[in-house]
Amino acid sequence: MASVSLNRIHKTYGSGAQSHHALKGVSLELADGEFIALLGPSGSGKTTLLRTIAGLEDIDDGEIRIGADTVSRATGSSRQHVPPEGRQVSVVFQSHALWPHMTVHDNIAFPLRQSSTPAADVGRRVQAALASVELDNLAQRFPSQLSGGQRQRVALARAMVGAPRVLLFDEPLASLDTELRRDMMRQITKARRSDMPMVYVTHNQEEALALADRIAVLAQGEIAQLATPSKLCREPANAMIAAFVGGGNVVDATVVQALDTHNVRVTVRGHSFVARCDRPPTAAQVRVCIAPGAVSLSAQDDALELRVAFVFFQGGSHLVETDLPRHGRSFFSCVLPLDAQPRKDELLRLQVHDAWVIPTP
Amino acid sequence: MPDSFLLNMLARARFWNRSEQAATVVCLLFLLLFALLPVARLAMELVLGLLGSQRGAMIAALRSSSTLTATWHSIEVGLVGALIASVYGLIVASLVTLTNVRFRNWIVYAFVVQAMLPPQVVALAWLQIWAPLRDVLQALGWENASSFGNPFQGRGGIMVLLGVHYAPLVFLTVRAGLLNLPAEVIEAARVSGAKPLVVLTRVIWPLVTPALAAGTALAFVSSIGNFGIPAFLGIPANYLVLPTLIYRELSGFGSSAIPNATMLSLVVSVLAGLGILLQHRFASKGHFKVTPSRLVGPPFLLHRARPWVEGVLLALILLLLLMPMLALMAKSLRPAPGVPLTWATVTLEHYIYVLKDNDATVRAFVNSIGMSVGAALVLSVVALLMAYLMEYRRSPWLNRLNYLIEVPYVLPGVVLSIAMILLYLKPIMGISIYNTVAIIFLAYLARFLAIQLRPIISGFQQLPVEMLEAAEVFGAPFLRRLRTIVIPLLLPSVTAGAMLVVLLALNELTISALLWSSGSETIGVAVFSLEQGGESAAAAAIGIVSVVVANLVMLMASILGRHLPSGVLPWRA
Repeated sequence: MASVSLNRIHKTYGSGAQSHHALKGVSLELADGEFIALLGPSGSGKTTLLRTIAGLEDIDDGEIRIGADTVSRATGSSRQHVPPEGRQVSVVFQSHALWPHMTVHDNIAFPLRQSSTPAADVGRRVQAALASVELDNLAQRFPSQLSGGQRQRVALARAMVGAPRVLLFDEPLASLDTELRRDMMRQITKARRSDMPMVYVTHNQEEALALADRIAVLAQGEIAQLATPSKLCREPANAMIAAFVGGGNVVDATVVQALDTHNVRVTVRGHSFVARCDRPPTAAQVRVCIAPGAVSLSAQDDALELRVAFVFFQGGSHLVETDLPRHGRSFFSCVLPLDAQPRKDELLRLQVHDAWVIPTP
Repeated sequence: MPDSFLLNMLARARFWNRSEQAATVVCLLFLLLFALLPVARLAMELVLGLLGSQRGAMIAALRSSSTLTATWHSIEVGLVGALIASVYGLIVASLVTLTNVRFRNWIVYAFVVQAMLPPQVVALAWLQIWAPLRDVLQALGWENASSFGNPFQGRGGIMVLLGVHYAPLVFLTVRAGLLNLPAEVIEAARVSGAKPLVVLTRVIWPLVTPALAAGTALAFVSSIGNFGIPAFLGIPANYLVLPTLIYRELSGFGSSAIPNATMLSLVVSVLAGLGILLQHRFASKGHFKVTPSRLVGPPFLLHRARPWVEGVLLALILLLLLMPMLALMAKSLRPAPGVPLTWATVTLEHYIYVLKDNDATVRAFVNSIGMSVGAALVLSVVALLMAYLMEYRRSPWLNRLNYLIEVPYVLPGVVLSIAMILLYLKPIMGISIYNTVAIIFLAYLARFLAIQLRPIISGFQQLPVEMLEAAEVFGAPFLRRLRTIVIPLLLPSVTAGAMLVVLLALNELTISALLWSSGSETIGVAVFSLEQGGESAAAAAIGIVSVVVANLVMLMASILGRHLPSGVLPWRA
């Protein structure tokens, strides 16, 4: 049984001409202990979706269940909304949201005190929570005396201490720098429990790919694709996802021959290669997604000939943008090894190793 | 670090052109003349008096029973008034800001308008409630009602009225504090399982405590300095506070009047000074550096309770604002006391009397309007230059003296008046401005500079500095920069400041009560004199006119509102 279930959630802000349809019938099931990332650009509805689970926003249509309890339900004119304090959920906010007038200890103890936990228990559990984020000795500090990374760890400890039924993250790493980001990712991974699902909102694909069991990509208030990280990278459902996750190139290709149900031979500018697909394409023209790393230099006669437009040196490799137009962006980009030494206007001869045919709806 | 200060100053001075230097000199002279000189003159009087022949008289004045009584009265009405303001302001601010009550803008306006009305008119209006209320009570069978005096006169009435009148000060600081709270801090408490009342008392109120304390201290300082309310409600009942005692001393004008009043002004300044210190202490604590995410909507949604909460707020506005004003209006429209007010008996004779037939009240309108508009114009120019030099040029001189700007405004009005009397009692270079409108006008310039300057400063702070630097880079000299960049961009702020100055100067009584003479009456003085002379209906008519004018000015400023930096107009905060 799924421990969080969202059923056709609709949410509209404002009314009339000013209204904004933020969620358009989103459905999602989280299994016990599952970690789902909500990935999407700003304005895609991912934070709104998180806030409806927390109870910080009500919904206009649909149903949200946590465990066996229905916490939000709206059909027609009937509305049922359990307020946030009645949901036993926790949120780690982007800005940590620690209360500046309470010590670290009191901040973490707050959720326990709301559920009238015995005093002896409170002390023990706060200590345990602090220990789990490796901040045992900072209990009596005030938030203003902590560093940014420490504050976010305290926020994580506060979110976990009350044994919530769901743990929600609203871009928790957005205001941290690279090193602290990695540290918090370790802490979050450590915090996972088999009975507590997590929902993690981010616009950063790196975090989503690294942390999540499954990723829901949101666009304009709808789930565009729900898949495991590796499937999302290898088999994007549409051109937007292909470009947003992994920076894949989406280019037009001509079908030569279906090899079997999951492989098809296509050509681009006279270069022929095998692309994976979920079913054999019916049209002669398809769009394929080629990851920047899925090409290499080639001496073959039928190589893909591309002229170098820009070269970005990346330390261990070169990112090269070429003159082949692609969907969404203006250049086909590829990663070349250090010794390739590409120059502007040079003609590159490339071979495509792996590609994915974007499914046609 | 005087060395680096000097070097810094010299380094900057090289970039300054002559017109900017001239503007700096003008601003410095203005500050010295209107802020430093009166205070220095008062201090000199105190020191010389205590060291010289007046010593005995002054000490005696300090220890006299009337001084001690009035000091105690000031403290008690100040404290209780501030307490009432604090509770009332906190509750209304919390309801209006944290819940989804409707008509929010109207409630805020109606609430803040209380502080924008002339206190003497408010006091006069409350006095008019008793007669109809007494009739109602008698009709309900309470025979003894008429044997009571007007319950609004005396201590209790002063406390309640000061509390209601200055509750908006608390309301505004608390509301600003609440709006400044990051939404996530409240949401974190709610998802932690805290019920709304727990969130309010354990998280929200503790976080706005500094704002509440600062607002309460401000209400205390204002209550201590208020003249209009204790003058109308206290003098008839012989309940004197320090400002009314000073007024009585100076109207007697015996040989000891000036030393006595000087001594009393020291006492009231000390009390106010304590309040100001507290206020600054709390105000500087109130800023939590958390996040830029502010409350987007009210965190607590009322459902069934909403009409009730709205009803209570509406009832408060009706009871505390509209009812006294209606009683005042009834008074002004009634031909004589005791005549029942009907469509047949209603009369405009009191309005015609004060606006046309009575020379003194007509003069009062001319004087007040002329002085308030004049002060607003002069202060607009001075404040614009000052803000430019302080905010853009970081003028070291002006920024070091900026606390002087606030002094004449935060000092109780009676103290500024005594300082002006001392300064201009004797003719200067053969010219005497004492007993003319000029001394009142100069006092207005001193008192309202801070009011005019604040919105312009906040306008400057929201103006990207690059806009002025770009003008400089592209070769616009100082005056052209002012004309083409600064004035067009800051015109709304300048106008808003000017309107606030006009509003306060029109409502003002504290200063002119001590400085007026025949020929230099103000609207406030006219209301006060008519009421003291027993012409209550005429006083009520002026009161209604000034309330209407005050609301017109506020509405005009509101229309400007959308072009203004946030927080400039108090009732739109």
